[in-house]
Amino acid sequence: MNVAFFASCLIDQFRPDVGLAAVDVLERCGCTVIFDERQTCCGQPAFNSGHHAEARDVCQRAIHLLHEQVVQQGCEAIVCPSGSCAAMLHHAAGLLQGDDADMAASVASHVHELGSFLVDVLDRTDVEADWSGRVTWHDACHGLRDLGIRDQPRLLLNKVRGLELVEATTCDRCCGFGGTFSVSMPGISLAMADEKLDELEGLGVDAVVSGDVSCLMQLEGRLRDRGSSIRGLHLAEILASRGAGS
Amino acid sequence: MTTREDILARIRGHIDASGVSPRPTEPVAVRTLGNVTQDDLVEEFAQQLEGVAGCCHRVGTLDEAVTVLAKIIAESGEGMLARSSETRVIDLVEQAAGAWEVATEQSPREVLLDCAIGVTTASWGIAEHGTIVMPSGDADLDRERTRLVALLPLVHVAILRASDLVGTISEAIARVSSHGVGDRPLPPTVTFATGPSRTADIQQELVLGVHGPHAQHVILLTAE
Amino acid sequence: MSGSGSIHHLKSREFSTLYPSALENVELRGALAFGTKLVSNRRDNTVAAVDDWQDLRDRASAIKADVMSNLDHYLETFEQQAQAVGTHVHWASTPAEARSIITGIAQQHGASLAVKSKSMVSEEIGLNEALEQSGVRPVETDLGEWIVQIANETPSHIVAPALHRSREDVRELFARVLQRPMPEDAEGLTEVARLELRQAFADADIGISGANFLVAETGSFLVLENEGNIRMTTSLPRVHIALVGIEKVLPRLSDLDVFLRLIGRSGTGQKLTSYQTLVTGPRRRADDDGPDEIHVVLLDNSRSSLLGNAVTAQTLGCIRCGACLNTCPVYRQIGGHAYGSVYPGPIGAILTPQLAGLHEASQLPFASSLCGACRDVCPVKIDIPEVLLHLRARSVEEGPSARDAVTNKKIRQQGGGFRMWSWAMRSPWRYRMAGRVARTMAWLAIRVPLVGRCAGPLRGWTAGRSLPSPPRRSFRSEMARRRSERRS
Repeated sequence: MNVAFFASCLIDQFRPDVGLAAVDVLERCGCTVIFDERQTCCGQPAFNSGHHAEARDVCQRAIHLLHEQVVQQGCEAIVCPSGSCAAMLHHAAGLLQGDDADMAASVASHVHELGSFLVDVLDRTDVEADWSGRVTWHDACHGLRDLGIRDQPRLLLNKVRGLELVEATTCDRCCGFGGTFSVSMPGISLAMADEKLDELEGLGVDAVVSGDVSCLMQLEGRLRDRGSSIRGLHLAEILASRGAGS
Repeated sequence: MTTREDILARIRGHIDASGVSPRPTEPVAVRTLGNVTQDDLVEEFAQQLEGVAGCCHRVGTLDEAVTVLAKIIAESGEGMLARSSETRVIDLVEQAAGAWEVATEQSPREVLLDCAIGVTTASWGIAEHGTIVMPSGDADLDRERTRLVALLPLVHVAILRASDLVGTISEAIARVSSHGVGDRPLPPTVTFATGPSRTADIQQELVLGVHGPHAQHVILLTAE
Repeated sequence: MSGSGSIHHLKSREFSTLYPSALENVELRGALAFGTKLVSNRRDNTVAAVDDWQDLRDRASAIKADVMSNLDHYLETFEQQAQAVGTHVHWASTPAEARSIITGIAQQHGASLAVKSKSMVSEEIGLNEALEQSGVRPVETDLGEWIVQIANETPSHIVAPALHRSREDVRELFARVLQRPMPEDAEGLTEVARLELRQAFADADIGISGANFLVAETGSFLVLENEGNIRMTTSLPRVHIALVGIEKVLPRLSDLDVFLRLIGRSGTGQKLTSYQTLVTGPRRRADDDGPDEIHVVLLDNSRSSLLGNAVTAQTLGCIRCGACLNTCPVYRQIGGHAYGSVYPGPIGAILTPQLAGLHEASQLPFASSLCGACRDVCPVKIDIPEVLLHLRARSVEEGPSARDAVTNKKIRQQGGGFRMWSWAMRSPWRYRMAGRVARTMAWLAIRVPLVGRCAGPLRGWTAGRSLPSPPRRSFRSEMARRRSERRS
């Protein structure tokens, strides 16, 4: 299956290893991954801050590119290793107008978050990954609440050799990132992260795993500041692993 | 323009501007508990009422109710009892009150505020919640005044016939509704009461008994 | 926590001036964490036991949508039916009008004491202050509301007004105000409040409540509670006044079933609250109990303006259950007072700016991480994040016109920032350059502490969080390298 890969700007610039890991997993599952280098951002930062005009220009561009990949390059699916960006692409039709909105709706029907794509589209839960250690899953808000992703990553993690998945009661509580929220209201944002991390540190996990790099930056950034040894890992990094671990 | 017309005009203007017009909703059918017998309703009612710290006393007839009321009175020590003027209530209280002084629904409210126990009937019971329903001041249900007698004393004892049990709050609302058809309005007040009064306003700690009754007894007449 | 004396405003102070002290208040945060978790867990458990929960929410949301797009019709029907049973119906466009209607009724009856049961609308219009000024002493009778009244505070939660106070806190307050030693336990403290208030119920000339629902078809109003204070308030005084927002009307009596199944479970995790009182007019016989006179005051206060747009109209569906407050990660950290608004939490963040004006409460739409937990628990399916985004966009459109300088500065700065961002994102080349600059900045910020502390938006990030060490190469250049390796 030809798969268009939407990397997201954050992964592209700050966590390329996550993007590469996602590509590895997709290829291992038999996909031909096509990455269009013209892609930039989905427009979400501006959209969530209320700057719709700026968001619209950027989002429209992303939609046009992805539409071209579907129509001209025969991509059957668009996969994004971020629930947040995938959700933005799903909402794009509401932001755009006229033909662009129709195009966005058509693109949205092809967009999948990585974990959901593996489980729901490819029907794979075992991707032959091998990673030793104890982890807990953080449900990133947009993946969980906008896209309904809850079981898929857990099914995938449970099939990873050597991995032990433990649940945190705060797994579905927001990490406090929230885009510009984390910068404009840092105190509240940190308090939100701490509520989760207080529990995580008691769970004895090696890593907190999530489907969104933005949440991981928030949680990892705070973990490092708290002097914790818990790492923040993206689902793709675990799934790509063939024997490393904590 | 009056304020009323002003508000209505604003509402209309904004609704027209929104261009939104969902279809008006239709009333839904009355919700029931399905195929249940009266025994099932009695069982469910009792269980639910006990679940919210109320007391359900199942007795056959009014004669047996006397023993129950006498026991509640004995447990309350000394004091004054208030009763409504429904025939069964009068009978029951007469037999059970013993040495207690009896006030009635006509007594001044200062007296009612001092009563330890209030006895009334309930018109209906709702099995799914253990709720009693008490209309007040309706011409058709003009058996008694329940409003203060069921509210001011620390303990409320309600007499309820098992045949007046319904399954759901939806059915109870339908019963209430049937007393307000055509030109006849609903009773001035209908009170739905489920267990004793309660609060959790201090550090989320449950405390039973605030301004309403601290104890809610229902004497359920299963043979009536 | 502000113990400000001037508390009767829909919106009093700015979020940014209030939340930092809330964050530092250890006692407050302990009470909040405890209370909100307890109630939302209870809610989750009770809701999980209802098989048709989602259908119920759909039904409730459809009824509310029906109401909002036919609101004039339902209000007129309500008025007609209520008048037919002898209820006086009043209309108020503004808080001032509502206050003068109510103080007018009180004066007409020579009232000197009013018992009140918890009403957020009464807080919204500053009713207590107005009553005092016209010589009527208002006594709050809901336990939580009484606690905040004697503390000279405002409620910090729309269902549990004193959620921010611990038991010890309440004990100290009672001892100070009542000038005598107090019991330690909640039960004893509750009994103290009960006895204090019992005389007020007996003596009050008027009773004032809100209403959870108005029923158009029968001209009734329904009030829900647990304590029995509403039964007392609606039964003992000769005159009763219900102050209600125009959005609270429902078409039919049978609709109550849907909302009663939702509201108790959502609000307190109870299947049903202890009491529901359905009032349809004053007593009809001289020898009956209950008030001689019943007044319903219908308040607009900008609510009608929300009907102009399907997104904002959702806001009016709110049944004030408080579930969104209990689940909100922001509310859980800072509590209700930090919102500086009568309505706090997620619902307050959308309701207050729409009622008071966006320029008056400009920070509130931004006081959210948009996590969506509120939308998940809302029993009438209000898409609160959608409304927040709508309000954010509107405040950007309106430009820096807010009353508060923080918002204006932010809108100006972000406006410039996002215009540059958008320009960069529209070309792969500019995007690559921007990415390189961002990574270099992050690299510098980590190695040169001064940069981290001073560099504009980075400052907010680096206080308490470490920046990730930026990679040398981006994903796209790694991919390009891979491609060329595979080719060779």
